[in-house]
Amino acid sequence: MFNDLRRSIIRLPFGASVAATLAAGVLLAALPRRTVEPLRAAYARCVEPGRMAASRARETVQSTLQKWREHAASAEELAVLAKQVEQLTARNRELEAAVSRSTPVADATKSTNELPPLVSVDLLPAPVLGRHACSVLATDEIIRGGRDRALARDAIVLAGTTTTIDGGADAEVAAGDVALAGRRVFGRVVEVGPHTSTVRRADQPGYRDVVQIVSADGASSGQAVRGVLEGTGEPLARVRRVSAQSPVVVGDCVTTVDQQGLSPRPLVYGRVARVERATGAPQWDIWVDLAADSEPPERLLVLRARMNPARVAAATPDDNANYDHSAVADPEERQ
Amino acid sequence: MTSLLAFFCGTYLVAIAETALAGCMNIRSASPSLLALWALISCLARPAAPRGAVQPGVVTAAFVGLIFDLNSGGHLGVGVVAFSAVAAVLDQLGPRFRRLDPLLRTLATAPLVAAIMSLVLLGNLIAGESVPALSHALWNVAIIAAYTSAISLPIWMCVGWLPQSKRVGHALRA
Repeated sequence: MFNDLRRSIIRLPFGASVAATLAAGVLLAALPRRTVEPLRAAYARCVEPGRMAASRARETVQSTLQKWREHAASAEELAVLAKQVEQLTARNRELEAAVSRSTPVADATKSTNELPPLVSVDLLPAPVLGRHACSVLATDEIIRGGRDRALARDAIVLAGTTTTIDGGADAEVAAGDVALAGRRVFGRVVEVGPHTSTVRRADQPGYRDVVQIVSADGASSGQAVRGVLEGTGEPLARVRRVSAQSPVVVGDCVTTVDQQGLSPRPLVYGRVARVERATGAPQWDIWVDLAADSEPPERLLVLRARMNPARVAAATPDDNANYDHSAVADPEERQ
Repeated sequence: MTSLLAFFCGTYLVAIAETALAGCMNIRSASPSLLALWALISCLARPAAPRGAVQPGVVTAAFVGLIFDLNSGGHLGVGVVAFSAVAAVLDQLGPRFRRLDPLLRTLATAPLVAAIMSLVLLGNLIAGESVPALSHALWNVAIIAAYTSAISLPIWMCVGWLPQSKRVGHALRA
């Protein structure tokens, strides 16, 4: 390797060559720093590309090593996660087994304590039909819907109107707040046909319903006064059978009786417009300004009650379970 | 000429490697002196020169010493003197050193590197350069010598294996 170099150097004795190099070194050491600065600068310029390449190579190697470490860490994490999945799967199986063991007990508890209600109540939107017929039959309204939609006689009919109030989120009105402007009682279904039903307005003669009168300041139902609302054919309906001892004032609300079970809250008929009592009479004559307009809206809501199919479905297994199979067993065997 | 070019390129690469790897290979603020190891290899990885002829190991070591001075920022010329002196000793001990197996060569590298570093330290001290406390500097010299010696084992193995493989190749061709 060094034969060329050896041949290129002037042949000198060993001692002379050593002395020459040492002398060169001492001479360089004796030079002032300012003199050798250009040499240092030139060396720095020569080495700079190599240093940059080396630093890039080092960064590449370090990033590659980092990737390998991350890959190894990911593999370890994957193994840990796989182990966790196995544990959770086993735990899931245990819980499923526990649930399957406890299901009969839960069903039994549900059958006794958490049965769905037997009667479900919903509102059926029903457009008003037969404007011309209504004008002929002044007392009744015809709506679309009859037995085919599970309507029955005496079903309560509500005026299905919507009202826009001047207030929203800026007035801290939230969804679920009760709006007392709607759900006014319009009348009752008096006849049910195959496809249509006839609704009698609350102000028409022949209309009767048990109502309660609650004070306008929102007193509880414990202070409510009950009576019978009758249609008179006049704009004002009449409430009778209210004891004169009961406190009734103009402006009190007339609502349905909340114990009917069809609605969680009483439905509004209207407000007391006039309170009269003949001298010595034991009862009030109360005149009610109905909240629903005498002219029917384009659509009514029918409050209908039906047998809850969920209750029927829930009760069937228990009935089967409680069914005494021995009762239908072979009579000879029973004997 | 090819060998000369290879020597210069090797010196350049070793100087860059010493600078680039100094941060990666730090042990107690000491890193191996690759240039010193390169000087030793350049002195020993060649056939012995005939007696009375110029020993190029001294010249090559002086050049590596110059690069060492430029690379380390020390006083220029100190490394030239230190590397030349050790190379002169090596030239005298060359035949014995070449007969050593790689492990013993590795062990012999430590005192040689320690001698180079001590001479550089002494030269800088004489030249008035600021050097750390003597005990700390000597401790650093010991660590550098041990570290350089440790990493030289595979290199000495390769250096011993190359001529041997050449001899085997010649024998097979013969």
